[in-house]
Amino acid sequence: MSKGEGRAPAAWRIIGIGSPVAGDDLGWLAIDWLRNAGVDRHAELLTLDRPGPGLLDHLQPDARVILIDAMEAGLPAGTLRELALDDLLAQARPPSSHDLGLAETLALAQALEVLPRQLHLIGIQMTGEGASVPSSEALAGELVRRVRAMLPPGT
Amino acid sequence: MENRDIRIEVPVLARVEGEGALELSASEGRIDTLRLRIFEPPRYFEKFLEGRGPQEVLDIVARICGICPVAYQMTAVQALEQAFGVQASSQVMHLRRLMYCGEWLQSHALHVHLLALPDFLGFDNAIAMAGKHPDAVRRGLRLQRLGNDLIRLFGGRSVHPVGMRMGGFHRGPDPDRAATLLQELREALPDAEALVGFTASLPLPDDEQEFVSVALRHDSEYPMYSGRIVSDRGLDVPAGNYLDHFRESHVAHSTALYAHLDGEPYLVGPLARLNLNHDRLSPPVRAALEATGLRLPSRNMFHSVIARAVEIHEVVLEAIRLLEAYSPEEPAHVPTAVQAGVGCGATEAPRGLLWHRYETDEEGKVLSAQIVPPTAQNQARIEDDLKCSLEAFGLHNDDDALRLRGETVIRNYDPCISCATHFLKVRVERR
Repeated sequence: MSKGEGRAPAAWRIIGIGSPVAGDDLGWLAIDWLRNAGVDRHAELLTLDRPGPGLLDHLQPDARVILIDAMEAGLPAGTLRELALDDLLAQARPPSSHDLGLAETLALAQALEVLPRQLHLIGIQMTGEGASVPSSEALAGELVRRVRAMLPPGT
Repeated sequence: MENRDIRIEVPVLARVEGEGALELSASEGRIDTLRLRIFEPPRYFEKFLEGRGPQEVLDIVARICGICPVAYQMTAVQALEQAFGVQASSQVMHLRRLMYCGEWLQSHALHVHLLALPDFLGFDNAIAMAGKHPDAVRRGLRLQRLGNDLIRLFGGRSVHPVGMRMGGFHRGPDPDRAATLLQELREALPDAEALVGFTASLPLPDDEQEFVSVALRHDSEYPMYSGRIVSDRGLDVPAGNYLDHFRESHVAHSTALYAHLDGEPYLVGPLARLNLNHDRLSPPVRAALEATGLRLPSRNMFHSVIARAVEIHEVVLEAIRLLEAYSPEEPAHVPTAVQAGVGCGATEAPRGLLWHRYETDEEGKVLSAQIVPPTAQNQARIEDDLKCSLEAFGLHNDDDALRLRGETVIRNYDPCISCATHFLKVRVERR
């Protein structure tokens, strides 16, 4: 029997990226919304404060991961988008000491062969004004609905 | 070929922090003009600090840099405590040094493995390198994480930490987390030791140059939080006398200030520190260094990557020593008061000497502030190095090769242009 065969699949891990500071706190807010909706009963929820390459500690090939981060895509503030991994990897720039963003970290994970085989990416459009998006039940509800759709039926 | 007129522009310098460019023109095999242009906008931090109280200063200066916030906080607290007549306890001094070890470890590990190594192993960047040298990248990431964990032990978080206060820390490290980290540092020691030999085995260019090394020097320690400012030309002064010998000036092509020592460019950073302080290394690190055959002082700037590896080994050992000696029962801070005064601080940031000066009023609020970061001090030296290195490399090389060598030379300094703006696009002009 090969290693891992017959084991239950790993629990889903949902990671909110950003910082607790307004403007870059959308990933953190998203985790709060998911916890309030009881998603923590079915998935591990965690927030990471500007992890840079530290994100790799939370990625393994057999992990099942949803990453949520603020994005700047020129959309109305609070707009949710599921991002295609290939599109994000295409945006990766050569790393600098201060600028190892999500795209660069995922490209590094791919090169190191630790990219989760099941990985979803959700971006939330930020306001661009250093402020949080307006607190919105509708936005929280849409995020919870989208995340639940990514998880196995019944969660 | 050697006598062609050359003009090379590197309009955006990669794998460095900030916005800058290199412009170079040459004729008849000699470089006529060479400018490291820094065009990142000035950030006015010194002005922001005016009217602020000491705790605000510590929180604001941490925002100058996402990689070396601890260095800015350490230097500021040292200067302000001098202004207020505060004497930190030995416990506080040890804890500060321990936190600083974390910053050196994360900064150096990232630079060596993700930024410098691709230059010496022939890759465009770390992502391209990771497929062929995954173990090296993983080692760098492990060491960097340990450094960040050390900072987080004191600061609550590794980016812009918030645990420092006048007189010490809001609270000492949690004993259980300190014990866990101590074990992880012990486990990382073989990685750190092996890194010294690994970097010394890299195919580094042989490029001897004359330059002045400047660093702190302490009576017994490898310099980090304290010491006198010394050079290999006889300078030996306390931090308060910095302005008697060092001068900052504007140049038209850069928003960063240039610094000179008695009118001459000089080097700060790992190689300068090692040149001036290799006798202060702990015995295991000295042994690892001696095994490489590297002769010190070194006049080859490309040995900076070895110097960083040596310092990684040193800070892992030092952090182990300090954590083993940690007494959670002792207070993590001493009582402080404020007063009108003037204080100067000098510490060794990962990139080199960092100097602060504050004048305060009777409420302890800042009347004036002056901050001289390492990259600003290295700018004139980088330009000198580029001129020497590129001429030694040979201007007969094609533009791409010259551009790559130029970028490699600059990255060697691990410049932080955002901190200095007060990085790199390259333009070479052959006439």
